[in-house]
Amino acid sequence: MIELDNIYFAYPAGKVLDGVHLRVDKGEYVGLMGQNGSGKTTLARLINGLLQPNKGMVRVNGISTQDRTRLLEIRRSVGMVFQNPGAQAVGETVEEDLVFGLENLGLPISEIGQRIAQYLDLLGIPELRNRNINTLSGGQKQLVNLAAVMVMQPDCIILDEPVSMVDARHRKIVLQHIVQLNRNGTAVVNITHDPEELVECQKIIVLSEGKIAVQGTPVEVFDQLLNERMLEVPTAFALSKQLGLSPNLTIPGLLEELCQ
Amino acid sequence: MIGKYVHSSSSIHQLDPRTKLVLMLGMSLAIYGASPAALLFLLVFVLFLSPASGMPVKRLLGSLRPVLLFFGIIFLMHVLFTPGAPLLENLPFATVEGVWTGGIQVLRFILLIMYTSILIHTTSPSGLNYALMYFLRPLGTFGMDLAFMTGVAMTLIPDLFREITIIKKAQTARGYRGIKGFTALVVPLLYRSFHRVDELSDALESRCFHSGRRNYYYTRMLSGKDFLAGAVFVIIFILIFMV
Amino acid sequence: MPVTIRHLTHIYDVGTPWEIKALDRIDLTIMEGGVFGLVGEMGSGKSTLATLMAGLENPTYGKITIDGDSPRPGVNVGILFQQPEDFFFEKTLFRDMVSGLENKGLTQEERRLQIHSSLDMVGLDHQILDMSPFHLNRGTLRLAAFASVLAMRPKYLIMDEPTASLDPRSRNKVIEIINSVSKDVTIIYISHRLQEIAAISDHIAIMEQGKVVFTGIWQDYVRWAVEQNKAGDLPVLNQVMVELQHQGLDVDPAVNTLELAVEQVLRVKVP
Repeated sequence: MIELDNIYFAYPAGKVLDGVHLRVDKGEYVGLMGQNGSGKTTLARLINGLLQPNKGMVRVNGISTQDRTRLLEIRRSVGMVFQNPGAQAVGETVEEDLVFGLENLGLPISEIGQRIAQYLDLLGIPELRNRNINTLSGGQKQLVNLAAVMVMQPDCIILDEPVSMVDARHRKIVLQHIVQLNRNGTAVVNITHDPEELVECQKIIVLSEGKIAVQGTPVEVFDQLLNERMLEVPTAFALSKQLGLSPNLTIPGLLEELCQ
Repeated sequence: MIGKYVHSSSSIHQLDPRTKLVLMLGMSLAIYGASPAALLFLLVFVLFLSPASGMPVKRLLGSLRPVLLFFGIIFLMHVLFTPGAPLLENLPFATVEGVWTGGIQVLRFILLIMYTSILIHTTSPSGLNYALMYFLRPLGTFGMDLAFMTGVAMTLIPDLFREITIIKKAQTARGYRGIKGFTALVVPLLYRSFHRVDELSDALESRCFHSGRRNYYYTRMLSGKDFLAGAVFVIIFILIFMV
Repeated sequence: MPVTIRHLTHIYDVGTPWEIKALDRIDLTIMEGGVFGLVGEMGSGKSTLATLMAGLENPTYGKITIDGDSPRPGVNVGILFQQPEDFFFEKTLFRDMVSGLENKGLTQEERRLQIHSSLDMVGLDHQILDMSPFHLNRGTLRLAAFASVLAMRPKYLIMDEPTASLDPRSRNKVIEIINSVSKDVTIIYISHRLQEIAAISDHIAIMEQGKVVFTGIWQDYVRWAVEQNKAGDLPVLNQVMVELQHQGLDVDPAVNTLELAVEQVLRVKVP
């Protein structure tokens, strides 16, 4: 449903993306890794038209992001959660924040209240509905941001380093919700440094210096990363390999094999 | 700082924000045109309003502190430049009339600030924004967009103050004090603020914000309290200008 | 001589409806030498503690002494805030860096030498001194900010999340540099990343909701976390080792590198 075709993008300071081809299919869970400056953040903003490529085309459901008259349609389909939990809030209270997106969609007013309740429940934060966003912790704010995007029911959600500024406890909760979101049918693109977040992905793409360096299933990708000492890999995976076990991405898997 | 909104259920808090905004505008007019005796009445009135809105009088008076210097200058200008009978023998420029008009002017300012403090104390930013949006509706899309922008800007203000505190501390630790400390504060502040606003606008756009939104979830109804407050105000207004 | 913190309580906006107690009767001693790790999530009070230790604010109650003296920023203690690369603004990097040395009674030549040697400590070329900070990349700027504080020659240096928003490679580089610098300056390293704290600290303290809930060395912390049912807070590697120990294997749950972990496992279980 999302296609990036031979994308080239350069800031005044220098080129950032050089000939990138990428696909995200309906319901897919894609992970995107790369060092700072590899182009990951730029890529995210190209997908929903916040940025336009210098060359090449970005298509969402067949619509090009260069078609300004249809940008709203694209953004209805692709939602985005950003890195800084405190820089995305639009309303004063949690409820106002979720109302904002639904007002933009033109949802009938009678349905708005119920939709908000539904998604606050889903994310386990119904009690925060009337709280002032300023009083929430970073982790709670990010959950609210996620709710505010999910409540618009997009086909795909892109998350740009969603938990890098979130405390450990909430990090687990947010990641669990992301996985669940995907299981319920929404396509997800998770952009991050931390390989542990991507063990459930169907496909991982590694960007390096503006090009795709490695692409494939998590096991394939981590194998290559480990051999070429490029980036970090999940701890369980590294341990499995060093111990000569079959590649395990998660702790329980590793422990099971070890304890036989 | 004129103060911050504090959530509470005082009778003033319960008034509709549109009512309060209109009454505030009316009060500003009253303060501007009232006679000295009426001003004293308004002063007594605001001192009664204060506890009624859950703000202790001490804090109300505290809101005047940042502007004391300003008042002093205004007062002094009136004392020195108003023509009239000399105040003291060795101060030929200072006049009795000057003291009088200076005092009245300062009193007008004091009242303005105190009433505004009560407004801000009892009306949430989103309430104010609602009122603004309501009154700008006649301006069509432009008015609504303007109101929306104002609302978003208001949410950024507490962050701005937080940033200033952080930057001040960091630059002090790096050895910047005094006049140079000002540039050391402003440059990072601008940089961070632009960055923050950039992020927010990305978030807004991603959530399908567009000009000309017509769909609004929140609606408010005026209640008996609002009409009562309006009536009280009209009576005061008449008394001030007729008596 | 150490940093001593006695009965430290700090409350913001005292007497207003927005009053908040950030620190609650903290008692802590930080010995001279090496790296002291301070761990806590946002809201634990670690940033407040950092500000007070740096002498940038006076505590509501209690006392902090450094070498028997009160904390004086730029004199006996220095602090590097989060995202320090945002605070540069002068025409050249040199002018930014020299501002901290202005009131120390040094000659121009002495100042230049101190700045040069601090750049050496972090591995930066002296050439960048003549460049504008707006032309340097963020990684370099962060190291320059580090050098900037080092140039003031504080005895203690507080670093608040020095690796925030860095990718793994840059993070490791910074940690390496901190390790080598800690031979001359006592570093107080504040972070919520336990892996880094484990790798770099000699002693650690854990903060939660304005209180210090643990002080000691890393090995003791792992043991304590397990006892307190907080094993889930530990780095993934340690969680694995703890679980193995739980299953009856004789492994050290406090190992903090992959190699050591592998060694441990191979010792007790040949696959």
